[in-house]
Amino acid sequence: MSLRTTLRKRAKGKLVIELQKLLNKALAPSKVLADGDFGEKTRTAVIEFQKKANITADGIVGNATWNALANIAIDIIKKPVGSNTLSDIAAKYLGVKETGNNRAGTSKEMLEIFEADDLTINKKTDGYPWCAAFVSLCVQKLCKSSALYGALIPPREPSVNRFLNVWAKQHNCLVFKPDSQLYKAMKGDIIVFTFSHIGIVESNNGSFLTTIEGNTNEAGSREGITVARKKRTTSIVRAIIRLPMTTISVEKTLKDSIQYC
Amino acid sequence: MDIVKKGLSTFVGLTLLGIVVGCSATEQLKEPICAVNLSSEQKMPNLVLIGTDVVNLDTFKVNNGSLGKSYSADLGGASLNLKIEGVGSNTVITRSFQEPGAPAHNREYKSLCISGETLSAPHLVGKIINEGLLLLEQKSNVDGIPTEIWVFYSKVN
Repeated sequence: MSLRTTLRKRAKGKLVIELQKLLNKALAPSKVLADGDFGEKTRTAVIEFQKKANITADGIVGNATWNALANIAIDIIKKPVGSNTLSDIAAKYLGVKETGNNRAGTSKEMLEIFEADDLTINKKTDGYPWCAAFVSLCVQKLCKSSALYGALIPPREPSVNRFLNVWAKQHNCLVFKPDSQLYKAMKGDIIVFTFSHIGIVESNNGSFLTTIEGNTNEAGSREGITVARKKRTTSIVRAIIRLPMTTISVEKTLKDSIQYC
Repeated sequence: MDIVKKGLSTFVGLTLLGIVVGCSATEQLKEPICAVNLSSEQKMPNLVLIGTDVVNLDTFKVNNGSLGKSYSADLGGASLNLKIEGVGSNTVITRSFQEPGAPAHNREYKSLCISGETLSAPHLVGKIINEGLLLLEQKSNVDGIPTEIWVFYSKVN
Protein backbone atom coordinates (compact mmCIF):
# COMPACT_ATOMS: atom_id res chain seq x y z
CA MET A 1 0.00 0.00 0.00
CA SER A 2 1.44 3.36 -1.05
CA LEU A 3 1.47 6.42 1.20
CA ARG A 4 -0.69 8.07 -1.48
CA THR A 5 -3.45 5.46 -1.31
CA THR A 6 -6.86 7.12 -1.01
CA LEU A 7 -8.27 6.71 2.49
CA ARG A 8 -11.84 7.31 3.58
CA LYS A 9 -14.15 6.50 6.48
CA ARG A 10 -14.09 2.85 7.57
CA ALA A 11 -10.54 2.33 6.24
CA LYS A 12 -8.33 0.43 8.64
CA GLY A 13 -4.70 -0.43 9.05
CA LYS A 14 -1.17 0.87 9.45
CA LEU A 15 -1.54 3.64 6.90
CA VAL A 16 -4.49 5.04 8.85
CA ILE A 17 -2.28 5.14 11.96
CA GLU A 18 0.31 7.19 10.03
CA LEU A 19 -2.45 9.51 8.80
CA GLN A 20 -3.77 9.97 12.33
CA LYS A 21 -0.26 10.78 13.61
CA LEU A 22 0.27 13.36 10.90
CA LEU A 23 -3.13 14.92 11.60
CA ASN A 24 -2.23 15.21 15.26
CA LYS A 25 0.98 17.03 14.32
CA ALA A 26 -0.85 19.33 11.92
CA LEU A 27 -3.80 20.12 14.16
CA ALA A 28 -2.04 20.18 17.55
CA PRO A 29 -3.25 20.32 20.26
CA SER A 30 -6.33 18.44 19.01
CA LYS A 31 -5.78 14.70 19.33
CA VAL A 32 -7.15 11.83 17.30
CA LEU A 33 -6.53 8.38 18.75
CA ALA A 34 -3.94 6.71 16.49
CA ASP A 35 -5.72 3.35 16.49
CA GLY A 36 -5.74 2.62 12.76
CA ASP A 37 -9.52 2.96 12.52
CA PHE A 38 -10.76 5.73 10.18
CA GLY A 39 -13.90 6.61 12.16
CA GLU A 40 -15.96 9.76 12.54
CA LYS A 41 -13.38 11.57 14.70
CA THR A 42 -10.65 10.96 12.13
CA ARG A 43 -12.99 12.12 9.33
CA THR A 44 -13.76 15.34 11.29
CA ALA A 45 -10.03 15.92 11.78
CA VAL A 46 -9.37 15.37 8.06
CA ILE A 47 -12.07 17.93 7.18
CA GLU A 48 -10.62 20.43 9.66
CA PHE A 49 -7.17 19.95 8.14
CA GLN A 50 -8.50 20.27 4.58
CA LYS A 51 -10.24 23.54 5.46
CA LYS A 52 -7.05 24.96 6.95
CA ALA A 53 -5.08 23.80 3.91
CA ASN A 54 -7.64 25.43 1.61
CA ILE A 55 -8.40 22.23 -0.29
CA THR A 56 -11.73 20.47 -0.88
CA ALA A 57 -13.07 19.56 2.56
CA ASP A 58 -14.66 16.18 1.81
CA GLY A 59 -13.08 14.04 4.54
CA ILE A 60 -11.42 11.79 1.95
CA VAL A 61 -7.62 11.59 1.93
CA GLY A 62 -6.56 11.68 -1.73
CA ASN A 63 -3.60 13.18 -3.58
CA ALA A 64 -4.32 16.80 -2.61
CA THR A 65 -4.56 15.94 1.08
CA TRP A 66 -1.41 13.76 1.03
CA ASN A 67 0.43 16.61 -0.72
CA ALA A 68 -0.75 19.08 1.91
CA LEU A 69 0.30 16.65 4.67
CA ALA A 70 3.70 16.25 3.01
CA ASN A 71 4.19 20.01 3.21
CA ILE A 72 3.49 19.77 6.94
CA ALA A 73 5.91 16.85 7.15
CA ILE A 74 8.70 18.99 5.70
CA ASP A 75 8.58 21.09 8.87
CA ILE A 76 8.65 17.96 11.00
CA ILE A 77 11.64 16.21 9.45
CA LYS A 78 13.81 19.35 9.06
CA LYS A 79 15.69 17.68 6.23
CA PRO A 80 16.57 19.36 2.93
CA VAL A 81 14.05 18.93 0.14
CA GLY A 82 14.63 19.51 -3.56
CA SER A 83 13.33 23.07 -3.67
CA ASN A 84 15.79 24.10 -0.93
CA THR A 85 18.47 24.43 -3.57
CA LEU A 86 16.57 27.31 -5.20
CA SER A 87 18.14 29.74 -2.75
CA ASP A 88 21.60 28.21 -3.36
CA ILE A 89 21.15 28.95 -7.07
CA ALA A 90 20.04 32.50 -6.23
CA ALA A 91 23.04 33.02 -3.95
CA LYS A 92 25.41 32.58 -6.90
CA TYR A 93 24.05 35.86 -8.31
CA LEU A 94 24.60 37.95 -5.18
CA GLY A 95 26.22 41.24 -6.12
CA VAL A 96 25.24 41.12 -9.80
CA LYS A 97 24.40 44.72 -10.72
CA GLU A 98 22.50 46.48 -13.48
CA THR A 99 24.04 49.36 -15.40
CA GLY A 100 21.51 51.92 -14.13
CA ASN A 101 17.88 52.35 -15.09
CA ASN A 102 17.22 48.59 -15.20
CA ARG A 103 19.77 47.98 -17.98
CA ALA A 104 21.86 44.84 -18.44
CA GLY A 105 24.80 46.75 -19.85
CA THR A 106 27.73 44.41 -20.45
CA SER A 107 26.98 42.09 -17.55
CA LYS A 108 26.53 38.51 -18.76
CA GLU A 109 24.65 37.59 -15.61
CA MET A 110 22.27 40.53 -16.00
CA LEU A 111 21.58 39.59 -19.58
CA GLU A 112 20.92 36.02 -18.44
CA ILE A 113 18.36 37.38 -15.96
CA PHE A 114 16.57 39.50 -18.56
CA GLU A 115 16.57 36.62 -21.04
CA ALA A 116 14.75 34.46 -18.49
CA ASP A 117 11.46 36.00 -19.65
CA ASP A 118 10.02 36.49 -23.11
CA LEU A 119 9.82 40.23 -22.94
CA THR A 120 11.62 42.40 -25.42
CA ILE A 121 11.39 46.15 -25.54
CA ASN A 122 12.89 47.86 -28.57
CA LYS A 123 14.48 44.52 -29.49
CA LYS A 124 16.34 44.45 -26.21
CA THR A 125 15.58 42.31 -23.23
CA ASP A 126 16.30 44.90 -20.61
CA GLY A 127 15.12 48.24 -19.32
CA TYR A 128 12.34 47.16 -16.99
CA PRO A 129 11.95 46.07 -13.34
CA TRP A 130 13.52 42.61 -13.16
CA CYS A 131 12.86 40.96 -9.77
CA ALA A 132 10.39 38.44 -11.27
CA ALA A 133 12.76 37.68 -14.16
CA PHE A 134 15.45 36.87 -11.58
CA VAL A 135 13.22 34.41 -9.70
CA SER A 136 12.13 32.90 -13.05
CA LEU A 137 15.78 32.31 -13.93
CA CYS A 138 16.49 30.57 -10.62
CA VAL A 139 13.47 28.25 -11.03
CA GLN A 140 14.54 27.48 -14.61
CA LYS A 141 18.00 26.51 -13.35
CA LEU A 142 16.50 24.35 -10.60
CA CYS A 143 14.32 22.51 -13.13
CA LYS A 144 17.37 21.84 -15.31
CA SER A 145 19.60 20.68 -12.49
CA SER A 146 17.23 18.65 -10.31
CA ALA A 147 15.56 15.44 -11.39
CA LEU A 148 12.86 16.18 -8.84
CA TYR A 149 11.71 19.17 -10.89
CA GLY A 150 12.40 17.90 -14.38
CA ALA A 151 8.67 17.69 -15.14
CA LEU A 152 7.87 21.21 -13.91
CA ILE A 153 7.46 23.83 -16.65
CA PRO A 154 9.40 26.75 -15.18
CA PRO A 155 8.14 30.34 -15.30
CA ARG A 156 9.25 32.93 -17.85
CA GLU A 157 7.49 35.74 -16.02
CA PRO A 158 8.55 39.38 -15.82
CA SER A 159 5.40 40.30 -13.84
CA VAL A 160 5.10 39.60 -10.10
CA ASN A 161 1.29 39.46 -10.20
CA ARG A 162 1.28 37.00 -13.09
CA PHE A 163 3.96 34.89 -11.37
CA LEU A 164 1.71 34.54 -8.32
CA ASN A 165 -1.77 34.53 -9.81
CA VAL A 166 -1.15 32.67 -13.07
CA TRP A 167 2.06 30.61 -13.12
CA ALA A 168 2.04 29.41 -9.47
CA LYS A 169 -1.63 28.44 -9.61
CA GLN A 170 -1.45 26.74 -13.00
CA HIS A 171 1.49 24.63 -11.86
CA ASN A 172 0.01 23.39 -8.57
CA CYS A 173 2.38 25.27 -6.32
CA LEU A 174 1.41 25.51 -2.68
CA VAL A 175 0.47 29.16 -2.07
CA PHE A 176 -0.07 30.29 1.50
CA LYS A 177 -0.25 33.47 3.58
CA PRO A 178 2.39 34.33 6.16
CA ASP A 179 -0.18 33.87 8.96
CA SER A 180 -1.04 30.32 7.82
CA GLN A 181 -1.74 28.00 10.75
CA LEU A 182 -0.32 25.05 8.82
CA TYR A 183 2.72 26.17 6.85
CA LYS A 184 5.82 28.21 7.58
CA ALA A 185 8.09 29.81 5.01
CA MET A 186 11.29 27.80 4.56
CA LYS A 187 14.48 27.81 2.54
CA GLY A 188 13.72 27.65 -1.18
CA ASP A 189 10.22 29.11 -0.93
CA ILE A 190 9.35 32.11 -3.10
CA ILE A 191 8.11 35.20 -1.31
CA VAL A 192 5.73 37.79 -2.77
CA PHE A 193 5.53 41.14 -1.02
CA THR A 194 2.55 43.43 -0.38
CA PHE A 195 4.20 45.76 -2.90
CA SER A 196 5.20 44.61 -6.38
CA HIS A 197 8.30 42.62 -5.52
CA ILE A 198 9.37 38.97 -5.29
CA GLY A 199 12.33 37.07 -3.89
CA ILE A 200 13.57 33.70 -2.62
CA VAL A 201 13.69 32.62 1.04
CA GLU A 202 17.13 31.61 2.29
CA SER A 203 16.16 31.04 5.92
CA ASN A 204 13.42 31.66 8.45
CA ASN A 205 14.34 32.11 12.10
CA GLY A 206 10.77 32.70 13.24
CA SER A 207 11.20 36.43 13.72
CA PHE A 208 12.35 37.40 10.27
CA LEU A 209 13.11 35.91 6.88
CA THR A 210 16.44 36.14 5.13
CA THR A 211 15.83 36.44 1.40
CA ILE A 212 17.72 36.84 -1.85
CA GLU A 213 16.10 39.34 -4.20
CA GLY A 214 16.79 40.83 -7.60
CA ASN A 215 16.38 44.52 -8.47
CA THR A 216 16.80 45.49 -4.85
CA ASN A 217 19.55 47.29 -2.97
CA GLU A 218 22.10 46.97 -0.26
CA ALA A 219 20.89 48.44 3.03
CA GLY A 220 21.05 52.21 2.90
CA SER A 221 20.60 52.60 -0.83
CA ARG A 222 17.28 53.66 -2.31
CA GLU A 223 17.67 52.43 -5.87
CA GLY A 224 16.95 48.84 -6.86
CA ILE A 225 20.05 47.89 -8.83
CA THR A 226 21.42 44.58 -7.64
CA VAL A 227 20.87 41.02 -6.39
CA ALA A 228 21.13 41.30 -2.63
CA ARG A 229 20.46 39.45 0.59
CA LYS A 230 17.73 41.11 2.70
CA LYS A 231 16.13 40.65 6.10
CA ARG A 232 12.35 40.87 5.95
CA THR A 233 9.48 40.82 8.44
CA THR A 234 6.32 38.92 7.52
CA SER A 235 4.20 42.08 7.88
CA ILE A 236 5.11 43.04 4.31
CA VAL A 237 4.59 39.56 2.84
CA ARG A 238 1.51 38.98 0.65
CA ALA A 239 2.01 35.29 -0.14
CA ILE A 240 4.52 32.47 -0.06
CA ILE A 241 4.88 30.08 -2.98
CA ARG A 242 6.31 26.58 -2.52
CA LEU A 243 7.21 24.67 -5.66
CA PRO A 244 5.11 21.52 -6.14
CA MET A 245 6.58 18.29 -4.79
CA THR A 246 6.82 15.31 -7.09
CA THR A 247 5.07 12.04 -6.26
CA ILE A 248 8.40 10.52 -5.23
CA SER A 249 9.34 13.37 -2.92
CA VAL A 250 5.86 13.45 -1.34
CA GLU A 251 6.16 9.75 -0.48
CA LYS A 252 9.72 10.08 0.76
CA THR A 253 8.87 13.08 2.94
CA LEU A 254 5.84 11.33 4.42
CA LYS A 255 7.84 8.17 5.10
CA ASP A 256 10.66 10.14 6.72
CA SER A 257 8.22 12.13 8.84
CA ILE A 258 6.50 9.09 10.30
CA GLN A 259 9.42 8.24 12.53
CA TYR A 260 9.21 11.74 14.08
CA CYS A 261 5.45 11.60 14.82
CA MET B 1 -52.61 93.97 -15.54
CA ASP B 2 -50.68 92.15 -18.21
CA ILE B 3 -47.84 94.61 -17.89
CA VAL B 4 -47.76 94.00 -14.14
CA LYS B 5 -47.73 90.19 -14.71
CA LYS B 6 -44.94 90.43 -17.32
CA GLY B 7 -42.91 92.69 -15.05
CA LEU B 8 -43.41 90.32 -12.13
CA SER B 9 -42.39 87.25 -14.10
CA THR B 10 -39.34 89.08 -15.50
CA PHE B 11 -38.39 90.11 -11.97
CA VAL B 12 -38.81 86.54 -10.64
CA GLY B 13 -36.88 85.14 -13.61
CA LEU B 14 -34.00 87.56 -13.18
CA THR B 15 -33.91 86.96 -9.44
CA LEU B 16 -33.70 83.18 -9.96
CA LEU B 17 -31.00 83.63 -12.58
CA GLY B 18 -29.11 85.86 -10.17
CA ILE B 19 -29.33 83.20 -7.48
CA VAL B 20 -28.14 80.48 -9.86
CA VAL B 21 -25.24 82.60 -11.16
CA GLY B 22 -24.37 83.63 -7.63
CA CYS B 23 -24.38 80.01 -6.45
CA SER B 24 -22.19 78.76 -9.28
CA ALA B 25 -19.78 81.64 -8.75
CA THR B 26 -19.62 80.73 -5.08
CA GLU B 27 -19.06 77.05 -6.02
CA GLN B 28 -16.11 77.97 -8.21
CA LEU B 29 -14.49 79.95 -5.45
CA LYS B 30 -15.04 77.25 -2.84
CA GLU B 31 -12.11 74.92 -2.14
CA PRO B 32 -13.05 71.26 -1.86
CA ILE B 33 -13.55 69.93 1.63
CA CYS B 34 -10.34 68.23 2.66
CA ALA B 35 -10.82 64.50 2.55
CA VAL B 36 -8.41 63.93 5.40
CA ASN B 37 -8.47 65.93 8.57
CA LEU B 38 -4.93 66.59 9.72
CA SER B 39 -5.94 65.78 13.28
CA SER B 40 -6.67 62.20 12.16
CA GLU B 41 -3.03 61.78 11.11
CA GLN B 42 -2.36 59.76 14.26
CA LYS B 43 -4.06 56.87 12.44
CA MET B 44 -1.77 57.22 9.44
CA PRO B 45 1.00 54.63 8.98
CA ASN B 46 4.47 55.46 10.17
CA LEU B 47 6.29 53.32 7.62
CA VAL B 48 7.35 54.26 4.11
CA LEU B 49 8.19 52.03 1.16
CA ILE B 50 11.22 53.42 -0.62
CA GLY B 51 12.22 51.27 -3.57
CA THR B 52 12.13 47.80 -1.99
CA ASP B 53 12.91 48.94 1.55
CA VAL B 54 10.59 49.90 4.36
CA VAL B 55 11.79 52.76 6.55
CA ASN B 56 10.35 54.99 9.27
CA LEU B 57 8.33 58.04 8.29
CA ASP B 58 10.52 60.29 10.43
CA THR B 59 13.38 59.68 7.96
CA PHE B 60 11.69 62.28 5.75
CA LYS B 61 11.32 66.01 6.24
CA VAL B 62 8.07 67.61 5.08
CA ASN B 63 8.34 70.61 2.82
CA ASN B 64 5.87 73.45 2.27
CA GLY B 65 7.17 73.84 -1.26
CA SER B 66 5.08 73.56 -4.36
CA LEU B 67 3.90 70.32 -5.88
CA GLY B 68 5.93 69.10 -8.88
CA LYS B 69 4.50 67.97 -12.21
CA SER B 70 5.76 64.39 -12.27
CA TYR B 71 7.13 61.83 -9.86
CA SER B 72 8.24 58.20 -10.15
CA ALA B 73 9.00 55.12 -8.05
CA ASP B 74 10.57 51.72 -8.84
CA LEU B 75 9.27 48.98 -6.55
CA GLY B 76 11.47 46.13 -7.73
CA GLY B 77 8.75 44.59 -9.88
CA ALA B 78 6.84 47.61 -11.14
CA SER B 79 7.20 51.22 -12.20
CA LEU B 80 4.94 53.82 -10.65
CA ASN B 81 4.51 57.24 -12.21
CA LEU B 82 2.52 60.28 -11.14
CA LYS B 83 1.39 63.07 -13.45
CA ILE B 84 0.08 66.17 -11.77
CA GLU B 85 -1.99 68.65 -13.75
CA GLY B 86 -4.08 71.71 -12.97
CA VAL B 87 -3.86 74.19 -10.13
CA GLY B 88 -5.52 74.66 -6.76
CA SER B 89 -8.72 72.73 -6.30
CA ASN B 90 -8.63 71.66 -9.96
CA THR B 91 -5.42 69.71 -9.50
CA VAL B 92 -5.65 66.13 -10.76
CA ILE B 93 -3.16 63.37 -9.91
CA THR B 94 -2.93 60.51 -12.40
CA ARG B 95 -1.12 57.47 -11.07
CA SER B 96 0.18 54.79 -13.41
CA PHE B 97 1.30 51.35 -12.17
CA GLN B 98 2.98 48.98 -14.58
CA GLU B 99 4.59 45.59 -14.22
CA PRO B 100 6.64 44.47 -17.25
CA GLY B 101 4.60 42.51 -19.75
CA ALA B 102 1.31 43.43 -18.08
CA PRO B 103 -1.21 46.19 -18.80
CA ALA B 104 -0.83 49.50 -16.95
CA HIS B 105 -3.27 50.38 -14.18
CA ASN B 106 -4.09 54.07 -14.26
CA ARG B 107 -6.13 55.97 -11.74
CA GLU B 108 -7.12 59.62 -11.49
CA TYR B 109 -7.52 61.39 -8.19
CA LYS B 110 -9.61 64.55 -8.48
CA SER B 111 -10.98 67.06 -5.93
CA LEU B 112 -7.50 67.40 -4.52
CA CYS B 113 -7.16 69.46 -1.38
CA ILE B 114 -3.72 70.94 -0.74
CA SER B 115 -3.10 72.27 2.72
CA GLY B 116 0.50 73.21 3.49
CA GLU B 117 2.62 70.14 2.88
CA THR B 118 -0.36 67.77 2.96
CA LEU B 119 -2.59 66.85 0.07
CA SER B 120 -5.70 64.73 0.08
CA ALA B 121 -8.47 63.42 -2.11
CA PRO B 122 -10.97 60.62 -1.57
CA HIS B 123 -8.91 57.50 -0.67
CA LEU B 124 -5.63 59.38 -1.14
CA VAL B 125 -3.30 61.21 1.22
CA GLY B 126 0.04 62.76 0.34
CA LYS B 127 2.89 64.64 1.93
CA ILE B 128 5.26 66.90 0.07
CA ILE B 129 8.80 66.21 1.26
CA ASN B 130 12.23 67.55 0.40
CA GLU B 131 13.09 64.87 -2.16
CA GLY B 132 9.67 64.10 -3.55
CA LEU B 133 6.27 62.98 -2.43
CA LEU B 134 4.88 60.39 -0.03
CA LEU B 135 1.59 58.94 -1.16
CA LEU B 136 -0.85 56.63 0.58
CA GLU B 137 -3.54 55.11 -1.63
CA GLN B 138 -6.04 53.78 0.86
CA LYS B 139 -7.97 51.81 -1.79
CA SER B 140 -5.53 51.31 -4.63
CA ASN B 141 -7.40 48.27 -6.03
CA VAL B 142 -4.08 47.10 -7.46
CA ASP B 143 -2.16 44.12 -6.10
CA GLY B 144 1.30 45.56 -5.78
CA ILE B 145 0.46 49.03 -4.43
CA PRO B 146 0.42 48.76 -0.65
CA THR B 147 -2.50 50.35 1.20
CA GLU B 148 -0.96 50.25 4.66
CA ILE B 149 2.34 52.01 4.10
CA TRP B 150 3.33 55.24 2.38
CA VAL B 151 5.07 55.00 -0.99
CA PHE B 152 7.98 57.31 -1.68
CA TYR B 153 8.02 58.93 -5.12
CA SER B 154 11.05 60.89 -6.26
CA LYS B 155 10.48 64.16 -8.08
CA VAL B 156 11.11 64.02 -11.82
CA ASN B 157 10.19 67.65 -12.55
